[in-house]
Amino acid sequence: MPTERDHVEDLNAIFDALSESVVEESDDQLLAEVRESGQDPNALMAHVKGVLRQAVKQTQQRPLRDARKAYEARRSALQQNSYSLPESADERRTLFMNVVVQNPSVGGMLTAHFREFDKLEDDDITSCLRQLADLGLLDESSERDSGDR
Amino acid sequence: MSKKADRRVPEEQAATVAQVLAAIEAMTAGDAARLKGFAASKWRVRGHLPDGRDGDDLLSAAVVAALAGRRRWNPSKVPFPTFLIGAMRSLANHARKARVTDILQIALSESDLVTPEDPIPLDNMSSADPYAFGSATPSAEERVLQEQSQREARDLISEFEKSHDDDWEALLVIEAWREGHDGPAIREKLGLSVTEYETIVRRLRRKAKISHNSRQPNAN
Repeated sequence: MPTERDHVEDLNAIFDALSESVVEESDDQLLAEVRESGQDPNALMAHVKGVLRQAVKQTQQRPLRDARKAYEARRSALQQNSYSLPESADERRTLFMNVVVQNPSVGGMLTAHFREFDKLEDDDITSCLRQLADLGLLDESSERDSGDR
Repeated sequence: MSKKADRRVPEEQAATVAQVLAAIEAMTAGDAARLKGFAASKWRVRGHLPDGRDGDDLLSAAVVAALAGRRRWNPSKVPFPTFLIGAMRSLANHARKARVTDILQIALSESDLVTPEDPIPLDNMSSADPYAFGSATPSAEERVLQEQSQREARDLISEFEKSHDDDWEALLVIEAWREGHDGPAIREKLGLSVTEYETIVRRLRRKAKISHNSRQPNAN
């Protein structure tokens, strides 16, 4: 039984041969073919140079892009933290003050940013609580609370 | 045990970004036509129909490989267009062996795939290698895609051959290419001079370009 022909490999072979045929071809012949196909050789040159320049630029920007991706991934992970905060602003404030009392170092650190805790807005308190949750301090606080009862 | 010679350009001889940019600016229209012509045919079909990008991805990947990968360019040894053609040839062959259609991935991932023993290990990989990238035993979905690729390739070849229906010399060369013969072997087999063979190939290139452009939504 004859072997089934591999048409993909055949097509690859044809186009490989076509691509290799331009390597040794003269500039004049290639430019004549460009014009025959309705293209402007100068426009083609500008296009090829543009593609190559853009590739150089993308390579240079790659470390920065990779760092930004990593930063956005970390930020997204922080925002998706599933710790659920108390529903009311009063409850959130109470929780926050409990954490500060139980963790003096946290209180000291926060004082560097906020002069008086009782004047903090709810948004600030909520933001602090989320960061404290990521540090695991809210879990520790609730464990201590249940231990004290 | 002898160690395989490291063929890579030493880092101190490798081109800087400034040298690459200068080489790009120094390119002639003939260089650009050659690079575009080579890339467009080399990266037109890899299991898929041409998608209008005409080899630009392969051109970009060659530059990326030079600056971020393991393919350093030595400006004192090789002209930049010649380097790019070599890089494109190699990247396209590696992509085929790895069954990857994202050529940029190949350009970047080559730097993760080398070993001290094999500077460019993909060069030694056979497409029949069961440990090549991709599964040795295709899944049902892969088989469907392979069958689709085979049908599309068969149709494209048929279309290309029909466009040369009255050109028996071109048809003989197409058949010889399918069988894996190169220029010198074909010339000897068919008794063609260099000029006769080149004339036939130019007819083939012209028809291939017409066929390709007729499929593109926005031919440039």
